[in-house]
Amino acid sequence: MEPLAAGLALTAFLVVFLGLGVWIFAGIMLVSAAGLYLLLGMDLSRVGSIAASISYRSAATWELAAVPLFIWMAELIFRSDVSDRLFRGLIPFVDRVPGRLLHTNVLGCTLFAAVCGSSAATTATVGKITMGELVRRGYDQNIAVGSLAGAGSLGLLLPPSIAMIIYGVLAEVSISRLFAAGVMPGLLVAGLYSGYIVVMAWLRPGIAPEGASRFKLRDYGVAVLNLLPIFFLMGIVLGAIYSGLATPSEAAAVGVFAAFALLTLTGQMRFALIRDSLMATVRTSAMVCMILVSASFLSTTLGYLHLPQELGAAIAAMHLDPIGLIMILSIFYLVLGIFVEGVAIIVMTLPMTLPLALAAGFDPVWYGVFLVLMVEIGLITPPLGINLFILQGMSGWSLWRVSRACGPFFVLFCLAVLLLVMFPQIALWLPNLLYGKP
Amino acid sequence: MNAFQNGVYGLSRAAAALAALIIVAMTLHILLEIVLRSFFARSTFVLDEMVGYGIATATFLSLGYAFEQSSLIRVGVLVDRLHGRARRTVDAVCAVLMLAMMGLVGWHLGSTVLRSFAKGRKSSSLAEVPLWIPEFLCWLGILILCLQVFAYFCRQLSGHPGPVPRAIGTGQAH
Repeated sequence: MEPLAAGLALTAFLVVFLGLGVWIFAGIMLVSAAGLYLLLGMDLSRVGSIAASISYRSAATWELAAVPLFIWMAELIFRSDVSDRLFRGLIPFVDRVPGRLLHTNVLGCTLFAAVCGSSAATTATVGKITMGELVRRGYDQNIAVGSLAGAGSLGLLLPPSIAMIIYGVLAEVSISRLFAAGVMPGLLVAGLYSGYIVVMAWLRPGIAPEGASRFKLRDYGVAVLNLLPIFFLMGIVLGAIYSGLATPSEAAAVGVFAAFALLTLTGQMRFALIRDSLMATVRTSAMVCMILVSASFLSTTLGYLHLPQELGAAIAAMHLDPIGLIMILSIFYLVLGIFVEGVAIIVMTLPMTLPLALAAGFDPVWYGVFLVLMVEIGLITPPLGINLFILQGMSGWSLWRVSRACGPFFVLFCLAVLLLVMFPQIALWLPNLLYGKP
Repeated sequence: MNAFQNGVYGLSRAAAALAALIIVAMTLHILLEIVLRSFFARSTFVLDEMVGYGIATATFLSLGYAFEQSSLIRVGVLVDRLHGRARRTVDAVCAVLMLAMMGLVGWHLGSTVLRSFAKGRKSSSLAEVPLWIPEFLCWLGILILCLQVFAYFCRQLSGHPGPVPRAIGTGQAH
């Protein structure tokens, strides 16, 4: 079969199955099975035995254990008073900045993202307190919602990050390097957001109410105490990774331990809390891991069809320069991000796009950061964006209104991608400094 | 109908509880390994293998529960716009497609379990784990998922409400 025709046929299957509303992992598996059965003419029993052995083998990848463990850690923290303390601890520090408490969203998410590996968990945990408080205190609701959705997605970019672990496993790139590479771009995005809030506060002072009180030295002391839990968690998780005590995949278990220690020390440990957090963990983790399993099956099918090589050759024949390629890929991911969600995008497309990017001379670590940024943009584009759903639930707004509030932050995200393409060192400087040039 | 629906959901929850215990065990094993390696320069030697079984079995065993709790995400472009009979029809078709796919995987994984059991295959590591045990647990998870999807399918035909209130939209239930 012609590779182009095969590619188009698979894309058509994908649109039909996913568009119909088949659960994403099953849809991807159906596309893969259909590819083997219809395009390669394999008999059903061979397709089934390939599907079963790939599913089992890819589910038993031990690095994946970081997925449930990071989710569990986040679920434990979500049920604690950490986010409440985080909000109160940030108040005195942002009160003088134009836009005032709106910055608690950005800073809160940045700090929390450094503890937690998932965007949904970051958004939910930080927003649990800030959303209600900001609205109650009379802040502009659009900016409050938009900045939370945008900054919440930093959970994927700042280490530790589930998306980067997954990319590292699939692309066979050092996860420590990826973690380090996400730091500067993450801070860049946070900086852009805070800058936007400052500019908006100058242009339209109405978005933030006047400050009420002056803070004394004692208030700063109390605030620092309130920030201690988050720094405690961050210190343990990142400390374990960068001291070499634990590998990035093992760091998740250390994170769970740190969360348990924190909950016990602050007297919040309850059996119901452990039980609820575990049941929530298995739900989310099953979803993420099954999408990964289905993606391994898809990439096996693509391999049988020789699609990655053929597509690579076709694109190479077009003599695109690297910038042209990255532009095409960016548009491709923006469109895909509208329909498909988070990790699913990474796993579905990586077997096709990674060889292209490598052939064009891009660094695999840089490409990982690029991909994660593109996925984060997908988190805030309707109709399928986890962060949008979470904010919809929190604000009670329509999906459309939440999406509109995210608009400016979507543009800022695109700006960050542009900067990353223009200055690859934003991502590569820190890993090269820490681990030497590859 | 109620007994069937509740029974299947009970099974899903029990499997999810087992998955939760597996996750706890995985956490403890990783922590043990870190402590042994860092302070005693020793190892359990089977961390990769055990955690590999753990993540595979925990994932598959949680599937039925995650499905019923609407945590397995789907694209809502079409289904969220439909209501009543039309929605139930599309949901039923999706359920059949999922059943066909997971049935195929389950069938072949099942025969792998039987082969591993009959031949007494063991892992090549120090632990010499009989391979049919983790394979069987994964197969069990797929079976429970299929039962849960079948129960869902029946509800679409009968319009019977499920044991779990439907979450709005297609996102994760939080």
